[in-house]
Amino acid sequence: MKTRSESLKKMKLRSRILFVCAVMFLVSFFITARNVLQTRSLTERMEESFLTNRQLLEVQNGLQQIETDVETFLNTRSNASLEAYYEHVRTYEESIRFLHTSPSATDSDILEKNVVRMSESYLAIADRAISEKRGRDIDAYQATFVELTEQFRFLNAMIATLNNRQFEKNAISNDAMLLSAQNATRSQMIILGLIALLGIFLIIMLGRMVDPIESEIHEREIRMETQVKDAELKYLRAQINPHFLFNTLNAGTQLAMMEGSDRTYQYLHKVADFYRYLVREEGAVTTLQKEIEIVDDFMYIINVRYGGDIAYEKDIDETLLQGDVPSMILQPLVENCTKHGFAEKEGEKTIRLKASRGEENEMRLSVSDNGGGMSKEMIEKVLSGEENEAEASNANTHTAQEGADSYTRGGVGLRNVLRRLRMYYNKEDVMEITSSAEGTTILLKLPLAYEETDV
Amino acid sequence: MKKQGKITTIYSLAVLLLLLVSACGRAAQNRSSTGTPDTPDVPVTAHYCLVAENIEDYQWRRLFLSTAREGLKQGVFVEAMNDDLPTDYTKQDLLKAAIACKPDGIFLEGDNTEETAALIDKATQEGIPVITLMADAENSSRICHIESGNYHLGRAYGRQIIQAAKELNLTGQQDVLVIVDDALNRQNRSSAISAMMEVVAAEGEGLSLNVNTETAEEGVFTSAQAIRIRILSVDRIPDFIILFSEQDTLNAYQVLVDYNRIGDVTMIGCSSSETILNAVARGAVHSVIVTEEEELAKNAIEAMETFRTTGHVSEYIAADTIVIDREVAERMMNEDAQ
Repeated sequence: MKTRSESLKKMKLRSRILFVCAVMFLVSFFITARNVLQTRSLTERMEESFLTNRQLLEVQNGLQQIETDVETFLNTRSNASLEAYYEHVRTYEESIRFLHTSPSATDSDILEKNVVRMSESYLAIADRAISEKRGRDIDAYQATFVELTEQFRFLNAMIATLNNRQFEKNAISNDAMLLSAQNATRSQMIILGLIALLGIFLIIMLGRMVDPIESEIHEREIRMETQVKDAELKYLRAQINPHFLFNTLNAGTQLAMMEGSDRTYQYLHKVADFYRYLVREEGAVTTLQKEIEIVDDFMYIINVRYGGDIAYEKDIDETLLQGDVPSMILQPLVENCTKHGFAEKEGEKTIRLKASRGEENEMRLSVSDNGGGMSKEMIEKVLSGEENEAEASNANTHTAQEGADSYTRGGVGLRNVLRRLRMYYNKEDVMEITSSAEGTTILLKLPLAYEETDV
Repeated sequence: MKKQGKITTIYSLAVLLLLLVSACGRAAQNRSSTGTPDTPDVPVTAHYCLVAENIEDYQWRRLFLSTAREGLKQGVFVEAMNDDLPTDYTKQDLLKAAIACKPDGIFLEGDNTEETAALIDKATQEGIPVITLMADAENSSRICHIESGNYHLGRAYGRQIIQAAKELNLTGQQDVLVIVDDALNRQNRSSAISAMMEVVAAEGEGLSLNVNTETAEEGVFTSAQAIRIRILSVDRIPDFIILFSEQDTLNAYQVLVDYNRIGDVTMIGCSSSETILNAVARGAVHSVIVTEEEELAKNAIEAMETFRTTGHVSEYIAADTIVIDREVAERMMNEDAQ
């Protein structure tokens, strides 16, 4: 659950980043595509801008060739010039096909129509001249040639006028296109500027989105670091005390063995095991079985101390024994019962330890006593998990804390267990305390299946 | 979630803004690259050519513009052939070119030469109707002639002479120099001169005219020279100078200015160019009489359309004249200034 929840957050962040990138990409794509299309359109228009001028020059050249062909034929009557004439006429007729032939409201269209109609008149006269030359009608073809030359002059002038008008029009159009290109460049610069601003804006917004998550992660890291330092300090103390304690206990064990005092031997042996667990269990995770064993040892020690007054009952689902749990989460709860639950208790004292499966693959560990119970305020204070500054500083120095909600045993208390569990599973609802005059039950609800994550 | 929603909204707005700017840029660009073409009132289905001796003549230019404007109203494009070909082409050359263009009709400044008549006949043979404007080509197959009418024109000039005489307290016989714009039009103008004398005799209250006619040959400089010689060579310059063409009016006015004779002679001309209007407004020229070109243009288009539709049209259509005196000229100049 812990990793799933983290993954969810990460996925969300990833999705957000992907979303931002996708939108940026789409916007950039749109702008780029637009610019490409615009540039292409502009290029095509630039290419076409003076096309009519080139075409009209071709028309003018074609006309000149026809005039030369007719003149040559009238002078020489050669077949070559006649063939050239027909070929040039065909080419000329092709070349004027792009011109308008119907009335229009624009000067240039009317001029085009004039060129087409004059060309028809001119070619008709040229045909007539050639026909008259073939018929050897000298006077007729000479007169027709004069008429033809005159028409050539008109037509040539008309094409020149049309070419000039088109040139003016194209030049204006070209100027407009240049202006358009300048505007396009300017608008592209503006758009690029906007994209840049948008990018900066998105980066800032992304930063704001990411910051809370990073802060949370950072905070948890600091808290974990504190816990680690806390643990290190415990170990430092534990390394001092256990050396002396183990030596002492070992000496006691050997003495008990030599004197044949089996019960003393067993007691000292359990005490040694207990402390050895505390010292040796450096890792954050252990099995439920080991946790229960340490509770067993603790109960044995306590019962020796209290003369076997406290009954200890276990109800363990054995399939859970190999399940991983953070270390030192049960013993502090049991110790809490012995120290505070039974503080003012007279009569039978019982501690029950139960391990069972809950809903949705949950491990439920409960420690119950039939002691005096806890007040509602006390329970709320414990479950709030908050500690004041004094408590926080005390936590690091393992000083015994005051108040009914503060339990000490080597610096490990009930709230310490709660904090560690919440941090470990990244889940608030890990502990439940129910209490009445008949006793108190502390229930731990731990996710059974999980992966180690480097939170 | 709320924060995320806000971010999404801001982000969407930013993207929309970007797209809007982009679209606006495109629209502005398109707008800058396309002009607004003049659109005719109705689709253009016919093409007429207008041929005049000098289209740069102020009155002819105005007449052409009026005809073109009136034509577009009726789906006709009127083209000035003079604008399409170099200026060294004669009117006959332009008419030949116009015929080669095979338009639906030709408006022509007529004259009485055989060459023009032959060309009009050729156009008619090729199915191109020709209407003469301002000046007729009497011996041709033109379908119609439209002008202000020499008789009416002469009467208008006569009435201006009477008006000027009253203003200047002139009585008795007055020397009048009439500059006829073209030798070929002398015959046409004689009816105008007769009408002018007639109206002065009838309405002049004892005023009589001693008319001398001078022909200003074709061409700007010859015309000016003729006027100069005529004005300066006589011992007693005329009381009135009557001019029937714009160019002659301009030339005569310039001669009077050059030789400081403004005020010595009363000039009644024929032009509504800015220079002459200014001269009229200042009193240097008494008045000018011009053809109502809007009406003439309308008549011309209607006549051509009628002929193309029915095959018949009146041979002669008269157009009105306008007298521009000092008051009218001032008003016109004020209107132009506004």
